[in-house]
Amino acid sequence: MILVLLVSTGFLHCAREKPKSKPRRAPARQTIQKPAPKPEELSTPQREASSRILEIGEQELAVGDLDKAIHTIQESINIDPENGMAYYLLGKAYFQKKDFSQALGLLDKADSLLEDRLEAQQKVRELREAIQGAQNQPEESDTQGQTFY
Amino acid sequence: MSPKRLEKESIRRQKVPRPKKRGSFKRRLTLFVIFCVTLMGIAGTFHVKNLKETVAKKFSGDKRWDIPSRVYSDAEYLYPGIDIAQRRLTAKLERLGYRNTGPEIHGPGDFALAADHLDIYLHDFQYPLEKFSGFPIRIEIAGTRILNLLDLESKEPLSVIRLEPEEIATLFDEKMEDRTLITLKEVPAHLLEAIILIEDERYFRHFGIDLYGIARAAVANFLAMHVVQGGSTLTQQLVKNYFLTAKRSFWRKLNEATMAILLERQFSKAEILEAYLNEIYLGQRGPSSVSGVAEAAKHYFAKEIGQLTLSESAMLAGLIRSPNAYSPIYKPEKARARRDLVLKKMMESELISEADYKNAVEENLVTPKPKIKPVRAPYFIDFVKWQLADLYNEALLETEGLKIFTTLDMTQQETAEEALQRGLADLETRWSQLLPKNHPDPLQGCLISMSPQNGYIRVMVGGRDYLQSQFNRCTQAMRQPGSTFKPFVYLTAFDPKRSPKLFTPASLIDDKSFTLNTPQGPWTPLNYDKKEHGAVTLRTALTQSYNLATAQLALQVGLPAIVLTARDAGMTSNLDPVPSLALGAFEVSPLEMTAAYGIFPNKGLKTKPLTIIGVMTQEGTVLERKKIEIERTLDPLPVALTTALLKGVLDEGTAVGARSLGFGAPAAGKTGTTSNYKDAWFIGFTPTQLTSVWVGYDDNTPTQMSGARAALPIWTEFMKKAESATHGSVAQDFSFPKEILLVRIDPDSGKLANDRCPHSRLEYFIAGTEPTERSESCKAAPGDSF
Repeated sequence: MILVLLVSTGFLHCAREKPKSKPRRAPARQTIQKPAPKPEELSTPQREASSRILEIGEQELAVGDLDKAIHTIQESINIDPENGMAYYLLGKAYFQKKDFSQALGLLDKADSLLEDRLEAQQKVRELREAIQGAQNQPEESDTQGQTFY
Repeated sequence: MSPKRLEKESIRRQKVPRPKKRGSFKRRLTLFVIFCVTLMGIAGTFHVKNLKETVAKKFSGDKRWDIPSRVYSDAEYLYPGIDIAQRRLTAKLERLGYRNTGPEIHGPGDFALAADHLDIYLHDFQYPLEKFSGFPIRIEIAGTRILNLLDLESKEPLSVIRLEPEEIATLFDEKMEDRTLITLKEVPAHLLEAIILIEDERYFRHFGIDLYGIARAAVANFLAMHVVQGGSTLTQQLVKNYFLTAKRSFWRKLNEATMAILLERQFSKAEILEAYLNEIYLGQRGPSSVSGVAEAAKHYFAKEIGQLTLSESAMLAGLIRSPNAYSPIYKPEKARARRDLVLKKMMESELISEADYKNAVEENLVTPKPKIKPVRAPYFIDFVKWQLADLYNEALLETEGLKIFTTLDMTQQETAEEALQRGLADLETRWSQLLPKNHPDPLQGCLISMSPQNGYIRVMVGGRDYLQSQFNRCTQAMRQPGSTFKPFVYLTAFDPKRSPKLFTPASLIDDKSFTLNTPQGPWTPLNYDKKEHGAVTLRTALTQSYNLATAQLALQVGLPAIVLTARDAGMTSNLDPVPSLALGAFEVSPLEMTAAYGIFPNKGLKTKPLTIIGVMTQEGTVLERKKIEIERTLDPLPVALTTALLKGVLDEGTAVGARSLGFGAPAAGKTGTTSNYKDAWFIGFTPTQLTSVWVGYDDNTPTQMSGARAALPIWTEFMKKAESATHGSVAQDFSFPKEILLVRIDPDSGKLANDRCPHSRLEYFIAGTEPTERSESCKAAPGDSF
């Protein structure tokens, strides 16, 4: 039912752009619509500027310079606070620093901004699973098998 | 001679053995002198020993100076689309110490503005974990908006440019000395040569005091019949400034000479010269002094010490004699004449060629605009200091030269200060008949603005005039939030996990008078207009801020659930689950209230408000780094519905005045007025900026003004400029989760409608909660289906 409603919303959107030439619309199409597009769909100079900084942060993250990567990615968020990929990468950096609760909070934010980007959402999901897996892992015991109390 | 006379004479001689007596006095005098000299010698030895110890103790340590800590604003990011007029870019550059050099830029710290472009030679800057080296850039402008950015060295286009953070406060000790430390290696050779030449030509040939120089000065002064030359060496000047006072006395002069000799015996010429370059007084910047050549280079030329030209070096060297008389900022003619004298002397001493001399004297003197305000954003700075107190003690902050990076947007801060001051003055003029007569204090207000996504506090104006009152109304005042609390009631109602009954924006609720018996006595809420409005949708109840309907809703939802929602949004103040809670009858600080609103633009994620980004030592080591903290505390779907209703407050509700005042961007918010009009609020947000304004009297005297009348115009004035500077005509709208649907309803019944309904409208619903029943007042068309 929801799928039908969403499809009908798309038709309605097309119809609204040519109000004079449009044929008589079905009432159901007029009744239900989908709200405004997601910010991630927008391509603005602000997003471009933020993404350029994010590329640097991603490179720093790739070579394991976590503190610098966090600093750079936060700058990217500072320029465009709605850049979902920046929150994802910041979450990844905190995951690598083993700050799991911080990483999960950032992934929540990434999730809310990357709603319509399936590939990015998949990345977020995988990272979330990795964090949850790491959280559930027992603390490392020493190789001698000794237990300390 | 008679025997009698002989006898008398004999007696007289015996009684008065003059020669013998005279010899004894001499001996005594000699002994006395020897004693005195010995005593003085011993005292002198002890004194010199003391001086030696003082010199050794004060000068031997690693840390010779107390360096004030500096508080910085956030960096400024420039990219295409930014309105440089709204962002007051040239004023920003001037505050950063850049110099307007006319048609073209020549070196670091210069900027040149043309009709279609702005060239800037960026400063070097030490960021946490990053040393930035400045380079020349071009900002191409169309009208007042940035069109393109270009690296002038590589000719490559740039997507973003970062202007360094702005120094907004310096945390001094009682000496108020502003200083940037440098090593001898960092000082350009021509500056060293100029200083030695003009201040102490024989520096490398004397032992602390220069007897030849003293004699030469004495002769010159005698011939001129007044003081025309000083005989003090650089070492003596250092001793006077570093160890002693400026008081003129024989003893001071003697100590100065002694200590100069001692200093030269214990330390190398290079060490002394380096200390001199860091110590020397070179002018005044408001209440603080400009000390050392590196700080002077920044103050007078907006440059790092290594970037000074020959001409600027000569000017700086010439300043030492009398920094205020030869100030390049305030006395440019005298400064130029003094510079030329130094340059001439350098040429005569063959330190520079004739060509160098000619070029240097022809160099145009351009200085940055002097900083007038010693502290900017004073309420914000107080709040930062209060937070820093948890990390560092006051003495450490005043002496260790820490760099504190904050979230403040200085341009928006200035806009906010102006908006609040003008807005309050305007209210006092336009609505004087409403305000109390002869109130001893002025009407007060506060304005906070945040970036809700990362929690950065961008602006904080804690009052009308910091000099008159330092009480920060944003953080220290506890005020009733009134109707600005209502969104948390509706948010709870829309959340099926929090509310025992399902509510949607189209649900109907009675806006009808009632009395509730409470342990505190009967409670009878009233509407603002003292009327009842019958059955209304939740949208109408919130957008029109109906008290009766909201109180009814709160009772149906459950007061403990509402308290829990407010806590999840971040409120920490005392919230009792009593009926008046729903109408905001409790106390909270404006900062707390603003931060709690962050969950709306942030889609249910709670973000911790931040003012300090990081703290760094003067050497560049990062001591503290604050992280963006985000936590999911509320379901995004009910949050989205509440946001949709809060949009309606601006578009058709109590804050519609913002639209008539010219604010057209998509925004949401809520007005608030407390009982007896003691507090007037407006808290509103766009997808990327959250701003709150409070207006009232400190002593709770009623203002007789609602939030829409008193706070909303100030909010609008500020947000219009803030929004236009960043987004221009392409302001971003709110986005909603995919589970949110827009359904056409009949607002009278809350049921489904279509275009044929006389008052139909689109309403937001969580998928699955939209109405299924059609309104009776809308006649169905053939084939109509849902």
